[in-house]
Amino acid sequence: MHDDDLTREERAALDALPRERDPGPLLEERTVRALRARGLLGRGERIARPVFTPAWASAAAAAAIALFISGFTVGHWIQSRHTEQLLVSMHERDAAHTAALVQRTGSAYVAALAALADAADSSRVGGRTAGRDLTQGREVAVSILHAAANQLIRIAPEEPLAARILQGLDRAAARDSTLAGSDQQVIWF
Amino acid sequence: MRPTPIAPTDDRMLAEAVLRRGEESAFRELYRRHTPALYQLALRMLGGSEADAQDVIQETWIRATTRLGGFRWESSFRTWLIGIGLNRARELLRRRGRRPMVELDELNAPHAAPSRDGDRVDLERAIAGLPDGSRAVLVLHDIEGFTHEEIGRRLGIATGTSKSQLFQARRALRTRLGSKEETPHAR
Repeated sequence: MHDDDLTREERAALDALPRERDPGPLLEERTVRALRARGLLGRGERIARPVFTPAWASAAAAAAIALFISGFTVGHWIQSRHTEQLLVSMHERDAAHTAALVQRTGSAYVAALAALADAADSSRVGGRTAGRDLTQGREVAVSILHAAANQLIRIAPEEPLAARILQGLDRAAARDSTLAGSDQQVIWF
Repeated sequence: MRPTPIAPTDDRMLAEAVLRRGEESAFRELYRRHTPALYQLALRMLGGSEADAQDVIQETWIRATTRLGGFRWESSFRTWLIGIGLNRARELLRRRGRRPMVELDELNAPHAAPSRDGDRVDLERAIAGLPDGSRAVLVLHDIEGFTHEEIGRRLGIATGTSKSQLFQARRALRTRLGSKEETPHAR
């Protein structure tokens, strides 16, 4: 007997049998509950597993670069804006604000000098010379002190402390110039 | 197996929603789309036991949902699902050591010609009464349209065994239904 031994009537009878049957809503609910109980359904909070396709990786890389560039640009803009604001405040703010600004920058100046002194101490402890950076730092500090004294004289020509600082610095500068000759380094700031 | 008029893209979208977000509505859509065919097949494979068929359906969907991430969509979703369902049905039959719902003696007994309205019911009953192995092969080959090679792979039997089982199943059916008239072959 072969597979094609079905008669026409037999074939028709088998073809007439239904291919589908509804098991009813109860089985659907039972199945859904079973899947829920296993954590496979109804989890709105389920974290989707990412699919790392090449397109996804390219998009992620592009987004990361764009984020970095925009962050860098914004940071740069904020920094320049901060400097501009500082200059503007020096010229446009009232005397009280300017005095406060002098106080803050003066504190920063002293703090920077303290850090420079610490660095000089560390270099000596380590048996090394102060080095070129320390020399430059000291010269800058003296120059700023000189400029500050000059401005103080402008504000108060009779200020004795400012006048003595200025005279002392001028004398020291003249002596250093004589000793060092042409090796003196000019610092621009 | 006969092609089924379903939309694989839609199945895939629904399956993705179930897999990634556990969307219940997507699962229900998939369930309602494929369960009636799966249930009818399971019911016939299991000899008409509705309780067993319902257990198989539930186990099939649980297994399918659990393994959804591993499905490569190289076949249709329904083909894949039916494969899981057949395995579940085979496992249930093996586990319970089922006997045919209708005794073989009854199958071999003389049977009056069924009424026209009762033809389908009698045929279903006769199929349900076949031994498990023969019934599975007949259902898959003569009703679902599987080839012997496909049946062999699905049921884990040799192609020759599938043909032999089909021969025995058809003979038993004819005996049960009394349809032994000599008519031209359909195919």
